[in-house]
Amino acid sequence: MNKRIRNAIIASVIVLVVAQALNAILAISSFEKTYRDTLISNFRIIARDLKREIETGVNFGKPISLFSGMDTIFSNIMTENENIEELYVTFPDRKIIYSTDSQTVGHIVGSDEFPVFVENPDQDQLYLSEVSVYRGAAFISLPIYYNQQRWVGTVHLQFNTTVISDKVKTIIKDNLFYFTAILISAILVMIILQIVIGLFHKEREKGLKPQVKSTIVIIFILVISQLIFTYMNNNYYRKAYIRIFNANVDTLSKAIKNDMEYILDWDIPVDNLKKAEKLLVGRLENNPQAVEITITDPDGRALYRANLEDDIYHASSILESSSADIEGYQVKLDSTDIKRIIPLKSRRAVKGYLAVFINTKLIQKRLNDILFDALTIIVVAMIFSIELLRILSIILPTEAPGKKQIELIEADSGRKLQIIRVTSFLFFFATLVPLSFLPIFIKEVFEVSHFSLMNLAKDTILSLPISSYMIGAAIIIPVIGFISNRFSIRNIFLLSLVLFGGGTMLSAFSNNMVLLIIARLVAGLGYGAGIINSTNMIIRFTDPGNRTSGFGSWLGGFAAASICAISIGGVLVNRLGYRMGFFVAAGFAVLLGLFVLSYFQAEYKGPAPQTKKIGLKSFFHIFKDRTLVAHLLFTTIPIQLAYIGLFQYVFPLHMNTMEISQSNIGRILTLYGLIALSTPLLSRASDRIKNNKLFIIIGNLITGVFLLVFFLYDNVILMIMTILAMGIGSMIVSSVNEAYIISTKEAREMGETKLMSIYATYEKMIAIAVPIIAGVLIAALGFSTSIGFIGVFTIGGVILFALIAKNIRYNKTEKVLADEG
Amino acid sequence: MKRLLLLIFPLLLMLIFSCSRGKQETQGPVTSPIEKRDTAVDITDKAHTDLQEFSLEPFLKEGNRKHNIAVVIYGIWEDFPDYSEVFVGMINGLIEIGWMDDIAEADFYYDPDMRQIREVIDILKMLEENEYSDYLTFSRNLYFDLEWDTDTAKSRTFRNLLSEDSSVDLIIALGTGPGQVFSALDDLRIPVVADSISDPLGSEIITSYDDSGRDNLTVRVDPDRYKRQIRMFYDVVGFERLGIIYEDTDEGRAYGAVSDVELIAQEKGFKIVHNTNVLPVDEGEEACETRYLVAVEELCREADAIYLGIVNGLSARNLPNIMEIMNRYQIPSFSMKGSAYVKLGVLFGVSESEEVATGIHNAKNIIQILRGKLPSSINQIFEHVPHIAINLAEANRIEYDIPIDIIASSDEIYTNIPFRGQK
Repeated sequence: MNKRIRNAIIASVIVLVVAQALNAILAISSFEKTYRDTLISNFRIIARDLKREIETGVNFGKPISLFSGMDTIFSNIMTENENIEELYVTFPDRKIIYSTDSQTVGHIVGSDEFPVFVENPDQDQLYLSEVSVYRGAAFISLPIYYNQQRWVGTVHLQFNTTVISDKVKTIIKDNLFYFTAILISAILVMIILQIVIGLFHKEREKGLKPQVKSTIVIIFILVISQLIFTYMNNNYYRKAYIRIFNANVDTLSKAIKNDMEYILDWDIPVDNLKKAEKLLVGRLENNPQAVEITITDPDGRALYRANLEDDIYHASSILESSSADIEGYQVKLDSTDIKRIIPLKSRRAVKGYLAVFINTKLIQKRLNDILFDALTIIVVAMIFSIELLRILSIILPTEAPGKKQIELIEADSGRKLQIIRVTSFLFFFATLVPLSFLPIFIKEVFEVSHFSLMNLAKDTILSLPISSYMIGAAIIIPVIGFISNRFSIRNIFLLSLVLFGGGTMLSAFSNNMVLLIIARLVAGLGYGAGIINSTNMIIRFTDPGNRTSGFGSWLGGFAAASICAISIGGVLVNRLGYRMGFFVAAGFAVLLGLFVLSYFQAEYKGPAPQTKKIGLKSFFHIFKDRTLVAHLLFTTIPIQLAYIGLFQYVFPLHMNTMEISQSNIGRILTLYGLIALSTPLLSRASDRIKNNKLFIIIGNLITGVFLLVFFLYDNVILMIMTILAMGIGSMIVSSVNEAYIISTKEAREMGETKLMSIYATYEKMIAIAVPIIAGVLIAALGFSTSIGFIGVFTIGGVILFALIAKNIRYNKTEKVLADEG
Repeated sequence: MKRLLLLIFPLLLMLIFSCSRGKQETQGPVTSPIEKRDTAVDITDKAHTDLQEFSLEPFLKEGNRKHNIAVVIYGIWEDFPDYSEVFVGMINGLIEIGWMDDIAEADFYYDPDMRQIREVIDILKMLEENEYSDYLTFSRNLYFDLEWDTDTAKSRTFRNLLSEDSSVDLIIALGTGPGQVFSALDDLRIPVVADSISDPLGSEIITSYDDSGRDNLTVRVDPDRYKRQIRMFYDVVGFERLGIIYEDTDEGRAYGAVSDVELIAQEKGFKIVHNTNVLPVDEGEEACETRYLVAVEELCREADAIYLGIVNGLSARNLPNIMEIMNRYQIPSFSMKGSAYVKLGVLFGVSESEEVATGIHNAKNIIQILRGKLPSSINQIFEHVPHIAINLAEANRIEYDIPIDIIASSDEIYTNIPFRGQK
């Protein structure tokens, strides 16, 4: 087998394995949370029942500490639920009053981490339950209120976590079976096709090259295998979820049946159950699995009904004046997928029926969430796989043997763009992985170390490690900018990776805030050095004819990394802990270091400046150039406001107020990243069109127009469309932005890298101020008006930029070509 | 270098994505030793809910003699076994902590079916004849009945009981009257344990719930007992006018929990219909009962619910007549006496007499006092465990639909009303 075929097979197998594994892990992690919550909700139902029963007695005058009949209540629950380990009823200070383990009465359950509830709660806090884990056992805690006001006690239901983890393990095991089967099949098909391509390829003038055919086959098999795996996964999860959901409905139905039959056993006629509808609506409010609960007579005529309609709970009874709502309502007494019919018996005679209507909307919503998660996972896995393929195509060349690697790099500008892209992807993957968990990690370190500093508020202290990272970047950027022409690009990258890797490892082992702040500062130094050195790299690896493509490739790598890193980082940390997250980030920095060592020549340095302009005065030189000033004031500031102020700050907050779930907020924001993936394509287009100013104007105009619409409307659809528009606008601007800046006269005089470093410093300063500005705007004007106001600012900036700035590149291109020619 | 890269990169990826089993025990940055699975409750040393300064071990007093316990009751009244029940509770408490030998439950009753509990004097006779304790002496010679009149405390027999010659070591006082008598005796040094008093504060027996006001006196109190009952009655029925019948004396108001009713009326916003058309106890049982029926009739015309407090004329014998009137007007009723009357036809009641717990509580107090603890230093507040009782047959009679949540919370549910004369 020739080397090319061998390399193609190796590359494709690696990509398949990684893509499938990533898909499997992300899918399992994504579903695991939903599954666990649903399993736990069964215990929640039981705990809520217990709370309700006790509260009824308390409200009727039974003091919590002198509650007769508690043993009966406990024993009924324990008999029917073997997975419950213990039940406790405690005072608010967790001192046990009643327990299924009598030895524990009088002692304290749990730890200070157990939940503390509030007095005079809002209606939606009455049944708020919290899950705690203590010494290997899980607890669901619910408050007991007297007259819905005074917190008089707490119910703690202790269950064994292995009940949950055993069921989850079963899911994982089943998943691994699908995973293995599909992977092996895909690998076999892949190998066969690669061999066929290798053996039967004929060189034609206009035909596809073998490596292109290989790539197409890899991507094709990858997509098919991912889709099949996702489809089977999704189907499996759907069934598992519906099974658990139905089990929860059964638990609820059984609890209501037991209550009703207890009453009926006292020979109270089924059509004389006063306040039964209130009992039903109480159940319904706390058990979202059902959308209606009705008690009927033996013929199906509704007697008491509680239902949820248009998000409002209704209760009606034939005994009350609200009977108009229930008069004539008949329930068909046959169980279906969406309805449970349970006979209510007393002394073996059927006295009536309990009808529980399942909340199909809730099921559908959850299944939609599972589906969206699956689609998101496919996208993430595909993006990661394609980047991996790109990396492997460089490491495992499929060109004819004999040519030296270095010669290939020198000769092939397309390959250089690939190297830029790979460097960007690895760099940003390493730097973005910690972003997914850093705020929580900082909070944990803070709580462990009890740090305080000059009476600063907790939130301010928690932001210090993040600020120190940015400060590190801000410090090193001008420094590297000034020395970039004296040290090789490779060495600066290695320095940045050592700093970043060292700072990241130090972060992993930080157990106090001071150390963490220092660690993040060091990591920030590395990050800043890498960022500014990337400009050097792009300039060195491209010429003015394809410079924009170079920057586009860099941005494309960033977009791909940002989509993958946060998802994967989150999963890593959930499964393996924070340290592993930091280790992975550092690991990717090491990989990048090896890559740089392999593919960057030692003599590559940044471009030398034409003049001797150095020193701090350089920071003010940009204000001499009206184009740079116009760009800074009328393009950079609006971009920063839109991207950092709106995208990272205002939009997530505003979507939260619209009651959009966190998962959906993440998905909506990811649309931006997906669009950014196309930046390289647009960069290539701009290289042909050669009017960067026009691109900047159009890009910002698109963003500004959509932001203005918020003066008139404000809803989820507009939010999604605006994010898409911002993605498109940002993509258009980003594809030319850096190229536009380094095409100015000042850039050529002081050196492109130096100018970029100064410009980047100004950008960082604006970035620090922008969240504060956004916060002030929201406080003063509210969300919609603030967004519209930023739209006005953006449009105004576009107009002023159009009037003041020049289209430099078009003018300079011929001169540059002439100079270099 | 490239081969190294080729090797490391996929290995790293494989390692990351296959290490899903190796989850760290803790997610935090500061690792802590893995804690062994243990119970969620630290039982390192037993917590005592009521710390005892003194041992409960039985002992004899100086000279190896038994302790003499006197018992004073307010009076005997048919259908009023409260004093006997509380006294039996104390005896059982003393048995529980080892100061007396076991006594069969049936021995406290006149009949093997245990339908009628013995009067206190007869219990003392039983204890005396059988010598159930090596440490305590109960005797009919150490017993006094005030016969519902506190003036009888001026008698010589009573004075002799309290004199030093009688060598009484502790007095058990049952009822409001004895409580008032003993709280008024400034020079009495013998410790007194009082119980079965409706309203010790209102009757001016104690100065506060926390402090009896007398070094030698301790009274068991449950300040919220009747408030809980009235609140529950209101929450279930939701009446607008609550009728109460009581004798218009300090004692009568205490027995009828009038101040508690007034307090809850203010809290919940309902009106009270007062009726004091009752006779004093010395008019005789029959006269009291007849007059009581008149009061009930008067009340039923104005109130939409009635709270049956303790008053002359309300008795098990008279209850069918009372209920007949109330049923005619379809008035929901609540019995202060609890399940005893609910069993006989009253709609609702809350039984507060948890004899076992209060008996042990009283027994422990007695022993601690014998050991030297100051009675006034004992915590007087000891709440009863309420048992909700309802009578579904009565609900049917007055066509009242009992809410199902109260049925679910009830501890005793009765489904019939016995015939006249049948218990």
